[in-house]
This record gives sequence, C-alpha cells and structure tokens, in this order.
Amino acid sequence: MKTESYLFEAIEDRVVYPAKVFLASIDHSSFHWHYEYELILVLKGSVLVNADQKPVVLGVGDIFLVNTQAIHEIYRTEEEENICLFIQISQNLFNDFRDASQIYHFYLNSKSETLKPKKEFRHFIKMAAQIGLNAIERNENTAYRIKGMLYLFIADLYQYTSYDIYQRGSETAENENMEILMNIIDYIQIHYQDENVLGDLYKKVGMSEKSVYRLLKINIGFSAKELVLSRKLDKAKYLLKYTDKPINCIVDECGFHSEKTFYRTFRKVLSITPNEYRKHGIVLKDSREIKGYLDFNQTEGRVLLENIVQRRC
Amino acid sequence: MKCTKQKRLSYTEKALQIVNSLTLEEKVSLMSGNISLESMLEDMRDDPDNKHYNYIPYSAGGIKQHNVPPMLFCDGPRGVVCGNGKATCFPVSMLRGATFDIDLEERIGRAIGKEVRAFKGNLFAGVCINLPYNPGWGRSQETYGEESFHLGEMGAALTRGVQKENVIACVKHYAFNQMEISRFKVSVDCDKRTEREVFLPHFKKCIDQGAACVMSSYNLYKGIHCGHHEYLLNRVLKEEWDFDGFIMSDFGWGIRDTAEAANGGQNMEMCCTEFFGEKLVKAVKDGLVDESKIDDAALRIIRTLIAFDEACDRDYDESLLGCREHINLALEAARKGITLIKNDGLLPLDKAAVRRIVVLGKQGRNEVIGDHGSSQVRSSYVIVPIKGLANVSPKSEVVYYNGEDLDHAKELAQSADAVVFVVGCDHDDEGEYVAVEPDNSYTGSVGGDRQYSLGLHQDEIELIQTVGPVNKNSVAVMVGGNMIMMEEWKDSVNAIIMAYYAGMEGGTAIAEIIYGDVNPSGKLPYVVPMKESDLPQVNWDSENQWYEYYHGYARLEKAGIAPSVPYGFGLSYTSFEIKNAQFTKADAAVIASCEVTNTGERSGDEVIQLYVGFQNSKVDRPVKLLRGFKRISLEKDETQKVDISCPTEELCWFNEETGRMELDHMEYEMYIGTSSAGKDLVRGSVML
Repeated sequence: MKTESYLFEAIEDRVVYPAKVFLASIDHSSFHWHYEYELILVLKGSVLVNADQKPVVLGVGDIFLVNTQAIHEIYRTEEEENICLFIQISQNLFNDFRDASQIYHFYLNSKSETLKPKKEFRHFIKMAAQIGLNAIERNENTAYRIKGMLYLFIADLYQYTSYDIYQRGSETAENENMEILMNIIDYIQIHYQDENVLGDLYKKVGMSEKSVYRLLKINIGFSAKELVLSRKLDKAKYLLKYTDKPINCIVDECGFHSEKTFYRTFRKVLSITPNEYRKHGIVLKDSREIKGYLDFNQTEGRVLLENIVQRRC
Repeated sequence: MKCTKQKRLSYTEKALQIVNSLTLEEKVSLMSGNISLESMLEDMRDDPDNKHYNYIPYSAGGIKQHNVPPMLFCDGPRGVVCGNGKATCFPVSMLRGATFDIDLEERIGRAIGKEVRAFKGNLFAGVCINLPYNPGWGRSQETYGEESFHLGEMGAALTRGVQKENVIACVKHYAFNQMEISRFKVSVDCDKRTEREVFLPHFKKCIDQGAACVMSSYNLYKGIHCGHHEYLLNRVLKEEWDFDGFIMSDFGWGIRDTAEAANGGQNMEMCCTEFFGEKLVKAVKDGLVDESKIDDAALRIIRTLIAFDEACDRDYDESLLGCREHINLALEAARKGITLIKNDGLLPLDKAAVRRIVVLGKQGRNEVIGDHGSSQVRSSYVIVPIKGLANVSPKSEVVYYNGEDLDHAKELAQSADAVVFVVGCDHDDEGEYVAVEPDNSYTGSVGGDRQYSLGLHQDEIELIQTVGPVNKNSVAVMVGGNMIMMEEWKDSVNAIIMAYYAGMEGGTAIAEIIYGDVNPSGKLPYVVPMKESDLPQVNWDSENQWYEYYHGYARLEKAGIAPSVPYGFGLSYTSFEIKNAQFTKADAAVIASCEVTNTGERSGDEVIQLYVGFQNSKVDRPVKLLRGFKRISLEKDETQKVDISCPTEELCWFNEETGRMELDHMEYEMYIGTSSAGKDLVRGSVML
C-alpha cells in the first residue's frame, strides 16, 4: 500500500472499543477499502452503495455489511438528504476465535433477494441501533456493553448469515492481490486524464490487459476502461458545476479526445446533457478526502435510533 | 522384534513363580482395570478437552512388590488417543488399507509404538481388523478394507511395527463386530465356512505374526457374548491358534457375567472393575470358577507384561509426540492412500492456470479426520481441505462456500477456473455410537452406522448435479470411512477422488494430488457397486443378524454383477504396462511374476495384485480372491520385475465334515494386474 494513497481509509479511532461507531450524512465516498467490516444502517433518506460489483440503493431501515478489504463506494442519492449509522468493526474481533488465515465474506444486505440470513433483518437492525445508541453515550459502561454487543453481532453473523471464506495459505503474503489492485485504482485516479493511461498502467504494474481486467472485474465489477471513464465524468461534473470553464476546456482537462465523444458519453451515462447538468445537476465536491460528509442534525439521528430500538418486534 | 512369541514364552518360568507367590485376591487384581466409571465420566464432564476418554493410559493390574507392571492401555488406531494437541493424527486405517503398503503400515506402527511409550503406555489397542460385511458399518474407518487377506496383511504389519517398539499390540474386536448401533445386543450367526474362511483368518494371521493381546467384542456370536465365548476364546484362539498372550474385554459392556466370562476364557475386564475383582474372588470361592482359570489368566498377563517391560531398553521422551518425522509419515500415508477414481483428463490442475478455485460442500472447511469416538486423536493441528489448497498453490485464490444456496454456488462456480466439491461423511454420519442423543454420549456426536443410505447427503447430491456441469473443471473429493455410492452424480464432474479421513495433513495431500505435486497411487480396498442391493443386506438395529458367505467384490463376481468401480482400483497420472506374466508353484506356495513398465510421462507408484480363482473347485467358492499384493515405485520408462508369492494354505477352504482347512487339488486360475477387474489382469493358471 502506498503511503500517500488517499484511498486507503485508516480507521484508527479505537481508543475505547475495537470499533468506530458514528452517525453521518453521506455526500460521497469514492472507491476505497479498509480492513474493518463496515455496517451501514440507513436512518433517513437513501444512499447508493457499490460493493460486491452490485450497486444497490439503500432506503430507510436498510442494512448492509461491507466486508473487510472489500472495495466499495458510497454516494448520496439525488432525492433527499440522508442519515446513516456506520459501525466499523476491527477485523481482529472477527478472528478472536477463528483461524486468521480465513477471511469471511458475509452476505448481509436487506435489499438482496438472495442469500438472506436465517434470522430476520430486523434482528440485525435492532442490534446495530442499540450499538449506535450506546456509542452516543460514550462512557466506560457503554464501552463494555458495546464490546459485548459487537461480539453478539459477530456471533450472529457467523451463525445466521451465508458467507464465503477466502482461505490464505500459510506462506501467502497477505493481500498481495489487494495491494496490486489498490495500486491500479490509485494510478487511474491520478492519471485518468493521460492519453495513454491504460497502456502506461499495464507497464507500471507489470500485468497484461487481460489480467488487470480480470482483477478489477472480480473485485470491483468495473473494468479499467470503465473506471477511467467514471473518473473523467466525475471531474467533468465538478468542473461543470463549480467553474465557468467553457466546455471545450473541460473536454481537454478531463482527457476526452473530442467534444463529440464527451457529449455522447456524458449523455449516455448520465441521461442528461452537460449543459443541462450545469444548470440543474446536484452538488458534488471534488474532495481529495475519502469521504464527503454533510451536516445533519445529531439529535434527529438519535431519535431515529431510539425509534428502532423501541419498536416492538 | 525383540518381544517375539518365543521370547515371551521364555518368561513362562519366571511368570509362574510370581503367580505361585500370589494370593487369589492378588491374582484376580491383575485381571481388571484400575479406574472407576464414575471418575472417568466425571473427568469427561468436567474438562472434555483435556480429560477426554483415555487422555492418560488406562491401567489394569500391576503389583509393585512382585515386580508385575500394570498394563497401560492406549487406544487407536488413528494414532494414540492420549493427550491433547500432542499425538500424531494419522489417516484412518481405511486410507492406510488403500495404500496396500505393508512397509508403510509397519513404519506407522513403529511411530505409534513410540508415541504410546512417550505417553507412558505399554499397550496399543489399535489393531482393528473387523471385516465390514456391509460398508455401512459406522466404524469401518478403523479397519483396512473388505478383504480378509488384505486385512490380515495390514493388521499384521501394524502389529509388528508397534511391538518392535516394545508395545503390546492389541488386536480387536474379536469377533464378528461390524454393526455399530446394535453392538451391545446383536447376536451374529453364520455357517462354519463363513466363520473360518471370511471372518477369522485375519485374526489368526495377526496372532501368527505375534500379537500379544486380543480384545473381545461386545456383540454375541451364536447367542453367546464374545467376551464370554468359550469357543472363540478358549478353543479357537488359545488352543487352536496357540495364542500365548492375554485377552481383554471391550470397555464397560464387554462382560455381563462373572463366572461365564472367566470360564469362557476372558482374562481381563476393562476398563473398570465390575464383574471381576471381588465378585470373581467370590465366584472362585463358591466353586463357580476353577482357580486354574485364574492362574492361567495371571500367567498370561504377567508373562506378557514382564516380557515387554524387560525388552524396553530405551527411553521414549515426549519430544517424540507429534514430531516432524511422524507427521511426515502421516502425510506420506495420505499421499499414498488417497484414491483417484475418475479422471476425464481434468487432473492434475495447472497451478498457473488456476487463478481462482472455488470449494463447495460442507466438508471443505472441516477437520475431516474421522469420528469422535474412542479412536479420536487430538493432534496439534489439522490441515483442512481449503487450507491445503491455499498452501499448495498460494497464487490461486481459494474461495469456499458451503453450497446451501445453489444459485450462489453456481455463480461462484462460473467465476472460477476450477471447482472442488468436498462432500461425504463426518462424525455425526458414521462412527462410534453410544446413545441416540449426542448429549448422553461422551463422544458428543451421533455416529452409528449409515443406516439409511450409503450415498452422499441429498443436498450434496443436488449440489454436484446442479453446479458440477456449470464448470467443466469440476472435481469431487469424497471423505468418509468406507464406500460411498456415486451413481447418481458421477457424470456431473470430470474427476472423483476418495480421500477417506486423511489425517492431520490430509488437506495437504488432497491438494497435492489435485495439483499434481503428488501422483495418486491409492487403490480402493472395497468394491463400489452400482446398487446398494448388490451388497449383503444388514438390519442395523437388530438382535440377530445372519452373515452370508459372500460379501463385497466376491459377492458381485459370484452373482455376475458388474461393479461401478472394482475392488483394488485406483488411477494414476502415469500409465503402467504388465508383460511376461508367469505363474508357477513352489514347495508350499504359488508364485506370480511379471514385468511392470511405467509407460507414462512421470514417475509413479502402482500396486500389483495377485488374485487366485477357484472355478474348478468341487465346492462353492468365490470366482477369485486377492491373495497377494506389492506396491512398487517406477520412474518414467522404468521396468521392474515383480514376484508375488502366496502360501498354499491361503488357498484352503474349510471342510465342515473334517473340521479342517483343506486344499483343493485342482487347477487354479491365477491373475496378476492392477485391479480386480478382468481388463486390468493378466490370466494364467497353476496346477496343485
């Protein structure tokens, strides 16, 4: 992992318990990964989560687990503001009584019609809300309680959800693939405007086009080409919204070869023309930070959590 | 072996002196176990991980002031069951049977003998040679296969190995013990020829090779408990076979009556004292048991123990337990026993081409080393199949899913370069059986016989049928202690491997064979029929069971029924050719010889098998029987001459009129080759 990478999200706030629990209103969070398992519970509005190669829009009351080391992105949707509970749980906690050379990939996604857990989603939702409420309290007593509840939650994941196991050998260097993968994504994030970005990329990582394609498809569901395009469009959207630059400049700056291609592609992907977007498009910050958070009312979040906990099941 | 029968008999005088110096009570005290059932069960309840069954050697007898050491019992056969995280867990006997490697089994015996000594034991009760009349027998894993000749050869090899390390080899369970859930109540019956030609010869062979102890079985034979059986214990074992060692009962329920057991020839009640001890002293005083019976038992016990005690001239320290050498031996056995049954050009997989391998099926992530009964060995680690695959090809991503959701399994299979199904039995499906409820059983699992089906579980069959065809690089790995039916699903995969319960390094060996680091060479020690009804039928929950003369491959051959996979069959990644087969007779033996050439592209092992046919006999006899085998290693293009000889006494049948084993004077068909199937054999004949 390159140290300068802005894509690796270090989740280090673990002074009291081996998890980071917080409420947030998500603007966007582009492709990244971390060792923590990340549980997302939507309390208000909706968000788009793109993990497991399947983008999914989560609405109020939906729960989604992003697995350890899974590359994912999260976006607000255009309709309304959102409030989400995030519980980022240290991978070590999952390995306390298990072989650490096995990585579990759980299926917990209340929007999915397949691989449903053997316990109802509301069971997991209620547990998550309880953890969230205790985290807001934040004192020594709740720290014990949270750690206990995290264990309960993990036990139920092991017992009631479907999962795949990724087995590493004793000698395998940890995350060798993951490192290459992040290097590839990093490279694209930085060099997407270059004319020969993909050719340079294959040379730099020493892999064939086919191998890179396969690695990306398996892990994030996008090809390098699609990733480059998506970055170009993100940049274009930002320049359209926040600058007065003429479109022909934006076309160059984003690495599109002709205005014609730019218009066609923009329209095809976003179902809207660049000019229309400039007038009506939603706000996206070109933040170099991993996550864009929006302001929201903490009290509202707390009330929403309490509602879930108090709801009779 | 230092402690041969001859050597042991040289202690008769000394043992007699001791016997004569003992009181009746002292003599009887030698004849039963020293631990109480209560303390044993309490231990298991209090600390099931550490104070499990036989966590320390169980002692019986021993009188210090007379220099009689106690018998110190260690169970097996998968290794030594004592301790926690120390012993070497070898593959189960059924896999070792599939190696057809006498030398290897003897080396395993030596390793086990050393570990018994390191645990401070002096007896290994792991020479289990019961013949699975029907492969559904839940403890088949503890024995070597369906064929009496082969069972005897393997059991004798283990006996020699163990006793070379000055540990008493205990042969069990004598006799007719091949039904698990009815083991305490079933009375087995059969005709004399079946008894003498099918169910007893392998016991005799182990006794002839010097086994110094025999454990009687729980079940009854012809209505009499085997632990009391005057005919089996006194007449056959001690008189006819001239057995010099001692007999012990199976644990807890092996003796039901004091006088009947003592008079029937039982020498030692294990592992607690219930019917012997004070009750036996009283029975002698009441005239129900003659004191000569006690003297005979005491003599046998003392003679055996002091002979082995004095032969033990080296220290065996704890560093031997689970040492690298022994673990390597466990791995060698797994490599040689795991059997490739089908391979439509799929195996071995090319590591470089397999970037992602998906493993499906419940057993893929489990420690598939066998049941949780008295043979459970607790090694320091177990390489599970998925771990083995990840270790052997570190660059191939290994993804495991249990297979419950067929759509998800299909999706995974589509994403993979190869798919491995790991399916079959575990400790709940088959194994030692104590009670219906796992809670009431110290084994903590169900076990028992495979009463309902000899096939895979229904969900596993559906998994293979549905997902196998999705990826043409699909291989099924079966785990289990005996034959598993394959007809319903065998066409849905391109390769099938039988892995048995392959021990602590089993996952490594499975992966090495899949990726071709190891060339498979195991041979099925049983026949796989097309239909379960081709096998002799058993009423598993019964008080009576008749055993017919024919079982296994001999039964199918006699009925002219083609098997799905023949006895003795196993594929290799190379090919072998047999030429210049010759069959001759010597003084008291028949000899088959041939030249075997490795005609393939890599080195490999082959098991050359000798079958003898009895079609000219005037009595009803099998079409042919295995009567010799030899495992050889050949480099590419190498040719080796193989001679296999078989003593003519192995060709005898039991004449009920004369009460003797007799040799037919006739022309015998002789076959030499690589399995029991006609197409794998070269035929000739010998006139005797």
